[in-house]
Amino acid sequence: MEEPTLNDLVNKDQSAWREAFKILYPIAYRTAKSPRLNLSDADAEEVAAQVLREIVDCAVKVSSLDGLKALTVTVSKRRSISKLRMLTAGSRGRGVTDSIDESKDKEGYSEIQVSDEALTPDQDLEKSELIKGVRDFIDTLEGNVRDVVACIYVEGLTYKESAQKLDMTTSNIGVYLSRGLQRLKKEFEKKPDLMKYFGELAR
Amino acid sequence: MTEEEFSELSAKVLTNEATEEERSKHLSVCKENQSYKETFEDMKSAAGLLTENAPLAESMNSKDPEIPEFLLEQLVDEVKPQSISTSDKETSGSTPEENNTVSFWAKVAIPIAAVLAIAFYINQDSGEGGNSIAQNAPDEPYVVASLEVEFGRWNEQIVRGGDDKKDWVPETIGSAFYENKTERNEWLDNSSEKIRIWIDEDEAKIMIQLPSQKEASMIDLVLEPDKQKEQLVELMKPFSFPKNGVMYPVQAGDTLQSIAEELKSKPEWIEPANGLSGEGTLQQGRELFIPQVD
Repeated sequence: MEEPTLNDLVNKDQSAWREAFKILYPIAYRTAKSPRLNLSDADAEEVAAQVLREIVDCAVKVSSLDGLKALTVTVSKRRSISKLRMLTAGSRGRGVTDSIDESKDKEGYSEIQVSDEALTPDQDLEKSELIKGVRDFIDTLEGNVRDVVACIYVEGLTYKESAQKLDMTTSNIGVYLSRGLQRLKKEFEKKPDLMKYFGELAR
Repeated sequence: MTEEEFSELSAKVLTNEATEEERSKHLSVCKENQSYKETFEDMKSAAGLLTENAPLAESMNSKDPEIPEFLLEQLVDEVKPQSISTSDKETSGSTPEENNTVSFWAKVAIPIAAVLAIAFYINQDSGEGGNSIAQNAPDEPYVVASLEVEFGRWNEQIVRGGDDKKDWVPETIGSAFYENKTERNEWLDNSSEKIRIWIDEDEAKIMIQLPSQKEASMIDLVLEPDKQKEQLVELMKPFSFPKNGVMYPVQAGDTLQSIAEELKSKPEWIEPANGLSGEGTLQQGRELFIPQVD
């Protein structure tokens, strides 16, 4: 698949967008299906289609195709949360006034914390830089460290499950995981724009 | 305890794999050793960032599923340089629900941006044709409720048209405007919004009407830039509600107030967002867009 140039996308070149849609659709879809959002297949398809329509006007905001991919992720996340809110609101019983953040739904969707997730388009862009930074960080990892970080933080496996999958001891899982966690700060220090996020979640 | 041992123990604590005994031990080491404590804080930040973002970051590498062919053709067909015409909208194949959500920007932001852009260009155009309408371009975005419209993005999209009539319209609606226009007083109607604007030597008027409105809002722009801004903000009030929100199907017994309370919105946002001004009873089953700020 040939990657389109950002310039062609900004100029709304149809053939460039044809290629871009092929690249961005699975990104939007997989985001909607990611563990914490986990929309149904049909809802993920609907969200992905909405995201692609919205993203066409966002090419002017980014500096690379990679940036557009990251922005697709954040827009998809925002729209997925909106979809979840709609679903949970629609399925809530009358007279129930619980916060939507604590909703128990009837569609099989799991609980979702959304209080800080309603992003503006500018925040979408900022958040996408962080996601791209994390993706770049994971790409710098190699061998066992990368595998363990992926098992724990991408797939959400436990030490035991990770050890079984990677055929190593749980003790070694801890060794490689601690190395991966310690390396993140070093990588972020190379990108001052991202350092502001470091420590934000720990506070 | 060596630093490596402490890091491994920290990783177990952060992933909830540590036993109570290990947690106690970890806590006491942190209290005793500031350097170790700082190491733990860094690892905790890293763990937080990865927990939140790693699954999303991984999505960036996704190659499947392939986009359905019909959707691809539909989306490609919708990519047209900056213009939206009636016929395009009618044949787009979008469902009503998609139109409600997807065309939200077209319904609200484009008219508002158009209004702001006009004001900007009135100000820019002060030296041309002896027009004394404005002197200084506003350098800050207007903020109405939580909706921000920045000039920067739209400036590039402004074109001048209308021959010698000094009409200024954003390029995004310009094509539709001039394609459909047979005489100056005709409405622009591209199915999403109606907007009529004109700026002459001695007058500047803006008329704007969304499908949800029964009557258009119209103002004569005054010549002083400061007052123009006030006027524009006033004009935009009917369109001033957060752009983020959810779709909500009206259920029996719902009122604007109850929906607003339940979904952290406000009746004065829901009304203009759905053209409900003056309506007594909500129609059960109707899908409403509920603006939200958080």
